[in-house]
Amino acid sequence: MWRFIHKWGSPKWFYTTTGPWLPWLWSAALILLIVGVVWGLAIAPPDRYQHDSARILYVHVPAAILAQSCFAVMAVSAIIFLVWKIKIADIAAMVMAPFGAAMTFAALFSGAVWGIPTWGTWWVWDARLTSMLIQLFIYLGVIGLRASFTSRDSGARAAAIMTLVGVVNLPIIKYSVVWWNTLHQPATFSLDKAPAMPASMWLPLLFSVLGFYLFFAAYTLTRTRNQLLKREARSRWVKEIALGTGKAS
Amino acid sequence: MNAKRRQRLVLICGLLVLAGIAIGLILYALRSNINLFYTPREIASGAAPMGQSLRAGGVVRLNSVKRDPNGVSVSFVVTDFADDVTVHYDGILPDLFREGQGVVVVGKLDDRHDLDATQVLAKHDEKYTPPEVVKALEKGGEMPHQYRFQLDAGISPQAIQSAATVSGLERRLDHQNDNHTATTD
Amino acid sequence: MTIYFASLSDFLAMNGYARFVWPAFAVVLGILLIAALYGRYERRAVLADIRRQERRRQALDDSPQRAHVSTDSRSPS
Repeated sequence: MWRFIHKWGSPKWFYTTTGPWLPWLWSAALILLIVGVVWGLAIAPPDRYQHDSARILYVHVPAAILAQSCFAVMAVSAIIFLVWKIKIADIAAMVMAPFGAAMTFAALFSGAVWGIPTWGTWWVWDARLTSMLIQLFIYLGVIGLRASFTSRDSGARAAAIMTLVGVVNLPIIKYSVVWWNTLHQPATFSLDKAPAMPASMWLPLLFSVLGFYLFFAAYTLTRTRNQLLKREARSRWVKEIALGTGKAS
Repeated sequence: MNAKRRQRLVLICGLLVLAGIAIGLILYALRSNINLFYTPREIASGAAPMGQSLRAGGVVRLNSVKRDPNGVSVSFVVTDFADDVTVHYDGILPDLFREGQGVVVVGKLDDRHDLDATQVLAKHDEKYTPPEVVKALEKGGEMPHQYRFQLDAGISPQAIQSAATVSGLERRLDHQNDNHTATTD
Repeated sequence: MTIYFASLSDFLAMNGYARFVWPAFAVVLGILLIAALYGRYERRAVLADIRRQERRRQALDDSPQRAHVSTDSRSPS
């Protein structure tokens, strides 16, 4: 286990091993996204009450899921970085933060647009919406905290600690609709019950969610590799890649 | 894992637990303030403030919507099946507003304990149903009353359950369902 | 599994919900597009930067009177 972690901590090994994955990840993400979005927009039935505005769920739900999953992955990276001092974990956390913030914004925006016809308002200070807004601020806080340090190591450590503290907001978002009276409805999917949605709706949603997850993986891997090259710019293997002289690519 | 790393891991876990406890306590202290709305039962028991703006949430009672023929003003009853609140409103209702729909109403309680609303929001439940499915179920007579009611009410089954235990609701629920079948087109 | 809408204009109109559905999809998918393009741009920029630095270092190495500067500040790690 420890040897496994340390192997992944080697920049060159990481870079050369993950290189061939990228085209597969990007194309799988693209295909799943196209299937999910086209199916959701054109083939899936509308909701009997919300009519075609319910189609917004095929982007709203994956964005909201990714906003939270991204932060959970950042927290795992933060622990790996703080305990084992593995720099790749820090780089990954760094490139994930803006993506997570963008997904949080995407969920808030699409939810607000959906709220206008369905609820009669684009915003209400209920526990679900407010905890999601707090999540956006936590993301911006993590990004800002890192940027405010002149020393890269101090910034990385501060961002990692703030990420770990921010994790407590994730269960609050998840259970806000159970613990309090909210305008937002409770979860449609749960482990112990059948989904409150027919297969003609949850199948395209499943494609869309998987597409977002694969996109997240492809984006994170691409940018982690970019930042790795930047940080290792002085090492021989990176120069070989940049100048196209070496075997590594 | 060497001693230094173990120490760091323990430190991080401790930090997480502390932050979790702190936020848990804050939320516990604020628990009633975080609720978006008062239920009609809370309003009837005097838990809701008079004369200042508040939100009330519940289900629009069947056959309770009365539109003023001369204008846009409308009145209806919001219920949690334990108590009722009468709402007066003149303004634009959301598309989803209908009898049996979950709503959140913003307004002030007047001296009759009626709510003068400034805004009416519709609450959607977690269920999504294609119109064709509903039509088919209705045609086949296969839609159980309970399911049909929950679908219309826009509130979660747990909420109905908890309201039922508070107020011996089962009977009233049945009554509502009978009403409902009678008025369904 | 068939297309729900009868025509393209029906599809675009979304039964009157076009002004909600399309902006929501445009913003969310637009964010994804920007993220993907940024990853591409970043890779090119980083590689170009490394090449530029390497060229500058080689230029300094080639000029004999300033050779000591380059070995001081850019000793290979």
